[in-house]
Amino acid sequence: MIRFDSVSRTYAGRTVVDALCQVSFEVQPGETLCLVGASGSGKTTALRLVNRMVEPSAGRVFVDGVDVARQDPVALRRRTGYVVQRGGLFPHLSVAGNVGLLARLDGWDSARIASRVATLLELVQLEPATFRDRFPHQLSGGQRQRVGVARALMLDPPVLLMDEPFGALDPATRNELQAEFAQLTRVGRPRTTLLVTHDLAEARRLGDRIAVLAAGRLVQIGTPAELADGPTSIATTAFFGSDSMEVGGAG
Amino acid sequence: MLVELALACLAARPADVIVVGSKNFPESHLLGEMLTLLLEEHGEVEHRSALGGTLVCWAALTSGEIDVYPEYTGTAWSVILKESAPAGDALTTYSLTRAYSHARFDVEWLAPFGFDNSYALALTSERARELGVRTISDLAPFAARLRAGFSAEFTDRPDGWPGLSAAYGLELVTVRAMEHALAYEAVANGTLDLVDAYSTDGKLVRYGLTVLEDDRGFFPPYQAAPVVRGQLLRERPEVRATLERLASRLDDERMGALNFAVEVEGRGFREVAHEFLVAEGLLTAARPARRDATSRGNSGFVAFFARRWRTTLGLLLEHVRLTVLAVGIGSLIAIPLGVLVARKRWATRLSLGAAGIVQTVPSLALLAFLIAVPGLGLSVRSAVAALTLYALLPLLRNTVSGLASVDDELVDAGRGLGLTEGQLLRHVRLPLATRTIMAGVRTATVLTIGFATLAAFIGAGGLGEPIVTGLYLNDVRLILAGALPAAVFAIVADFALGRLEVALTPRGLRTQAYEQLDRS
Repeated sequence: MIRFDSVSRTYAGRTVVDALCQVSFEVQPGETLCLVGASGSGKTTALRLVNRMVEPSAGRVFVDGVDVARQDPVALRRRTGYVVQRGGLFPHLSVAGNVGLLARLDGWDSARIASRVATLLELVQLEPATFRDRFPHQLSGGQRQRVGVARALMLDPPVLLMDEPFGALDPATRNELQAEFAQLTRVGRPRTTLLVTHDLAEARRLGDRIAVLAAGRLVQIGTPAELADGPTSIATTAFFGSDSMEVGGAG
Repeated sequence: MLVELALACLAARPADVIVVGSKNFPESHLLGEMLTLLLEEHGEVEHRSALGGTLVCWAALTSGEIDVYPEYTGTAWSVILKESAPAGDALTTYSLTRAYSHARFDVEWLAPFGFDNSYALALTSERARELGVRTISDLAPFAARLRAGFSAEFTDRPDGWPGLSAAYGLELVTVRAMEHALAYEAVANGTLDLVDAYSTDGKLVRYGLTVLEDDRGFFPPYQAAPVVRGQLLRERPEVRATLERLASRLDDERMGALNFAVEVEGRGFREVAHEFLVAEGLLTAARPARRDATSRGNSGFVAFFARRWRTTLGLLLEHVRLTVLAVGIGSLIAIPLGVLVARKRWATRLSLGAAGIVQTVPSLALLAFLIAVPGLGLSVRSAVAALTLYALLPLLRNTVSGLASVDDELVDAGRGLGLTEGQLLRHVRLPLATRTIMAGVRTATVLTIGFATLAAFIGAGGLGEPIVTGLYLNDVRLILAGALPAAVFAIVADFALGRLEVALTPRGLRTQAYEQLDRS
């Protein structure tokens, strides 16, 4: 579904940070792959290569078997839901306005938008009648993140890209959202999900497989069990050694 | 109504009407009325009075916006012909100025009126006696303690203070540039000692001032005469004979007395001009002077204002029209331009820099430039063009900074969701920048209401008209008749746009907007 074929990305002037070097991996349809790494390891760059928010310096990225470089970026992004840290909600739009924006731009009629918005708000555990007309500044951090997920799912995209979706939340709320993760992302159809996190415990809990990035290189990839059994590189060892919790900031 | 406005703006000046101009001081206005009255025997004549000084008048004359106006030889010699060395005596100055104007500008000098309105330095007769000064040289021992207030033009002109100071080796410690009429007031009440004056000024008598003798003969001769477009004389040769009937009719004393009648006694310009021409036998008494709007009398402010309310309302409407057109056109230019340049740092810098430079161009210089542009001329169009140029900076700056203040994370999120650049602009960036952009419109409007008074310098109407006339006649009632409505308009516009700003702010951002509005 998503395939990285020897992808490199360099940034002029910045040698190591956020760069990516000869990375290859694959995400199977319906699978959740967690990209784990410290700040500056290149994990967010990898995510943004999928929806062409970043273009590769070398190598190719495939979505649905087609090189993304040959896909229209706007059409590609409509088929890849995008969830960012802190939700990225538009403060001038209501909850319903945020969630329904893409459908409105696509010319859906308002009844269809309203019913889809209500369905999605229920899915993310927000009572539609209560929350529909609220504005982002009237929501808690966890509620905003739920709205952000609902917004990404509006057009029912087959692929979901999540960049530190729970990174800015307090531990209790994070725990709650992690517990609902499968329900949030897989409803309606199996969704191929790429999730970036610096929290290994989160990756273990949410990922079908985990890919570990260090200084722009893919150092290991496997199921949580495989990774726990035998770290195969020094970088992974170092990462596991400091274990689970926070290694550096968001990245 | 907009169509009507547009048509009114496009209407060109009718070809067969002779247009007389005059500068924004009483003597020029009076001479302009005399020229107008005399020319009326040849048909329709329009008098554009209170034009903003020598540069504006000359630009209007050479671009054909006016046909004739009274000018002074010494002024033309140094300000227009830009000659630094003195020409010589009165006759030489007149002859050279006439020859150069003809050759370089196709402008003809007719026979002088007869008086020489020289620059002069003046102080109260009392103070002159006290210090025992009679000539400018006598001032030298008192240089350290004399306080001088000179008109802005006098402080700048080569034939003004800079030249005089050098010629007499006179260095005054306190020299202020100020509005002329106010300087007179300050000398009379003892706040200042020394002013620049015109030797035929009617206010010399009013304030009991003594003119110091120019014992080194620094000031060039300033003989007044009508200057006419060569083109007009070729098309209508009879104009020359008509205007030259005024030749040598006015000596310094008579001019001073006429100035006194309008400046101090508050009589109307047209009435005084008419009376003089009849007395000289140049006009028959039978032709009645038209109703004279410049006759002020000496009534109190309330009675004065009550009498003028209809005029004031008309001027206010002109002022509103100038402001609305300038801010409207400015917004149509600056807001799309701001959106366009906001993407590129260099383009933002370049456009803001350009708009900033426009702000530094002195208004009179800008007006003098604009009235020479074909299609603009001495009209509302030039005033609107100038005001629009001045409004660009706040409009552009707020558009750019409004867009720049939009959180990058939100733009990134929108782009990642699959919004096109156009959709991002329309649904995310512009709504979030609306408040700042509207604040720019509000600032521009209030600034423009203030600036719009300068439309009076090119006779484009508005509330500046009574202000400018009031300043040169030193009539507080006239100044207030323009300034008060302008202030009220500014306050009302500011309030209304503040409300509009809140109404246009998207609902999700509005709670904060209301709080801020209540706090301010």
